[in-house]
Amino acid sequence: MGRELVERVYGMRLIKGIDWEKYLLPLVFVGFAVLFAIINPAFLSARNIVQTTRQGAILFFLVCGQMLPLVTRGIDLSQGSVMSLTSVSTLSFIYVLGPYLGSAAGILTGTFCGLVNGVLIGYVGIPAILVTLSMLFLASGVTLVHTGGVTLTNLTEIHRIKLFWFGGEMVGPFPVPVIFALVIAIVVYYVFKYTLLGRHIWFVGANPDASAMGGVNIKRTILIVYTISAFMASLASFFLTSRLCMGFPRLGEGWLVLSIGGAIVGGTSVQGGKGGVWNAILGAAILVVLDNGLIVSGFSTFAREAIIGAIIIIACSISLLRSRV
Amino acid sequence: MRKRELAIKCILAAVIGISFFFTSNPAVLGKKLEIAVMVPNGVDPYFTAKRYGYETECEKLGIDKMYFYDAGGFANLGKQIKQVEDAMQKGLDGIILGVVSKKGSVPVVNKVIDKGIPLILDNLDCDTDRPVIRNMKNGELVGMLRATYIIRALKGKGKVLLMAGPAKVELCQQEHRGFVNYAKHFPGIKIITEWTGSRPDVGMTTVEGALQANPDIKAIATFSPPLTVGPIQALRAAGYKPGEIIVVAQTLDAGLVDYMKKGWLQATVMTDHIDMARLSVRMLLKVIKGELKPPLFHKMDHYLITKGTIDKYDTSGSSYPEEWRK
Repeated sequence: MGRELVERVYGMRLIKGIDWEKYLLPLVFVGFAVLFAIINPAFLSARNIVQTTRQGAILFFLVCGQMLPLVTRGIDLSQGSVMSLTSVSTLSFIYVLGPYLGSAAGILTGTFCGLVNGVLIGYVGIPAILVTLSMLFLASGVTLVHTGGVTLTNLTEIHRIKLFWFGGEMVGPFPVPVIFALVIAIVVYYVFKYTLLGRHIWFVGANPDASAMGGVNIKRTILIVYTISAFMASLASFFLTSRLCMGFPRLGEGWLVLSIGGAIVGGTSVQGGKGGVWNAILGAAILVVLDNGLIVSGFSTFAREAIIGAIIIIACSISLLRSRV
Repeated sequence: MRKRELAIKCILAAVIGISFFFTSNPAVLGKKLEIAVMVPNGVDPYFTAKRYGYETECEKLGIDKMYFYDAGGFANLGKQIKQVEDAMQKGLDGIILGVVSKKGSVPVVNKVIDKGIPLILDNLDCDTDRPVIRNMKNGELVGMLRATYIIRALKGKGKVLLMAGPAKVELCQQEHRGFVNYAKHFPGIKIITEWTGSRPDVGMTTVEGALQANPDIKAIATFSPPLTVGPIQALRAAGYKPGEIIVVAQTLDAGLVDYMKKGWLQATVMTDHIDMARLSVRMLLKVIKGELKPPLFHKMDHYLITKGTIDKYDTSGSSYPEEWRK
C-alpha cells in the first residue's frame, strides 16, 4: 500500500512504464529543436545545422566512450585529461612525424592511458573511481610538464591544412567528424548487437557475479572497455585539436561533466547493465542542441551553464528513480 | 690619551657603520637571496610568459633562488593562502604575489606586511589597507584601446561581440568596464558580452552560435591568444574572408602573429606582461635593499599594434623565445 502510494505520488509507474529511449528522449530532442527554432529561426539554418552536427560528433565520441564504463558499473573520470594530453601529444608528434603519423601517435598516447586504467581496474582490482581520478591528475600533470602550460602552435602551412581537414572540412554535405562519428556508431552498434564482447559488456554491468560464474572474462572486458573509453576521448580531442590547429594543454577542461551528463541524459544507467550507441547518440544530440539553441537564443554563458546543469541533474534523478522502481 | 680615545671611538663607529651596512644589504653580505613568486594560474599562457620574465630578471639581478608557486586556478584561494604561509615560514627575503582573490587574500597579505616581509602585489590587486607596493596591469586601458580601434574601424556604428574572459577574474572585469565605458559614448555601437573563460573550443562554439543569433556582428574583441584562435577558426568555417569581421585581441603569441599577417586579426593590445614581471622583480629587490618603500601604485602602459606596426614593435615584453619551455 505504501509503495503503491509512493509510486502514484511520484508517478514512478509512469516513469517506469514508458520506453524512454524509444519515445520520450527523441521527443525531448525534437521539442528542444522546435522551441529554439521558434525563438530564433536561424537555429535551423543550414550553417547552424552543420556547426551543431560537427560539435555533436565530438561530444558523441566522449559520450559513447563514457557509456561503456557506465554500463559495466564503472566510470571514467580521466576523459578530460586524456583529451588535453592527446591534444598536446598530437601537435608534438606532428612536429616530428608529420600530420598523419603524428595524429595517430597522439591518439595512441591518449588510448594508452585507458589501457593503464583498464589494467589497474580489471586485473589489479582497484575501484574505477580511484584509478580514473588518479589518471586525471597524472595525465594532466604529464601534459603540463611536457608543455609548461604553453599552447603548441607553429605548424607549417602544409601540416596545418592537412590537420585542419579532419576537424574543419566537409565531405559533401557532411562535416568530416560526423562521418567518423557515423562509422564509430555503426561499429559500436555492431559490437553490442552481434558480438560476444558486446554481450559481455552488458552482462558485467547487469550482474558481475553471475557473469563470472557464466564464464565471462571480466578482467579482459574491463580492460577493453576503459581502453575504448580513452580511445574515444582521444578521438574527440583529435578532431577538436585539428579544428583549432593548436595543442592546448587545458583542452579537456569542462568536457567530463558533458560526457557523463550526456551518457545519463541519453538513458545509460548509472547502476550499470543498460546502455548502447543509441543512448550515446541521444545524449550527445540533446546536450548539443540545448547548448547551441541557448547560444542562438541569446542566453548568457551563466544561464547556459545553469540550464545544462539542471537538465543533467534531472536526468540523473530520473535514471536513479527508474532503477529503483 | 685623548688621541687614543678618539681613535678607538672612530674605529668603533666604523665597525658599527659597516655592520649596519652589511645587515641591511643581505646580498652584499653574501647571504643567499631567495624570493617567492606566486601566480594564480600558472598554466595560463599569460602567467607562463610572466614566469619567463621573473626567471630571467632574477638571473640577471643575481637573486639566488626563486620559488615559483602556482595556485592552480582562481578558485584555489585556500591553496594560495597555504602557499603564502609556507613562503613566510621559509624565511624568504621577499614575495611577489598575484592574488587569487581581491578580497579573500586580504588577511594573508596583511600577515605578510605585518611581519615585515617585502611584498609586491603583482598584476592583480588586493583590498588591503596596509601600505604596499602595487605593480598593476591597467585593465581599463586595455579595454579602452580595443574599443577605440573597433569603434573607429566601424565608424561608430555596429554590433560588437565582446568575449570578456573568465567572469570571476577582476582584471577581466576591469577590461570589460574599460571597453563598455568607452563604447557607451557611441550610441550606434551595440555590445554583446560573453564571459567565455579562456578555452579556444569554447570561444569557437560561442562565436559560431553568436553569429547565428546575430549575423550583423561586425567586430569581435577577445581576451587571450588561445581564446582568439577559436573565434578565428569559427569565422573561417563560416566562410568569412579575412577582415570581413574585425577581430581585436590582447597580447600576442606566434600563432596570432601568423593570423595577423594573414589578415584574420586586425589589432592587438600588447600588455607587456613579461616586462611587468621583470619590473616587479626589480621593485622587490629595491625594497629588500631599502631603496624603495611602500606605498606605491604603478600601472603599466599598454599599446595597440596592428599588422602595419607589428614588425616595428619590440614584442620581447610580451612573448618569450620559442626555445624557452618549462
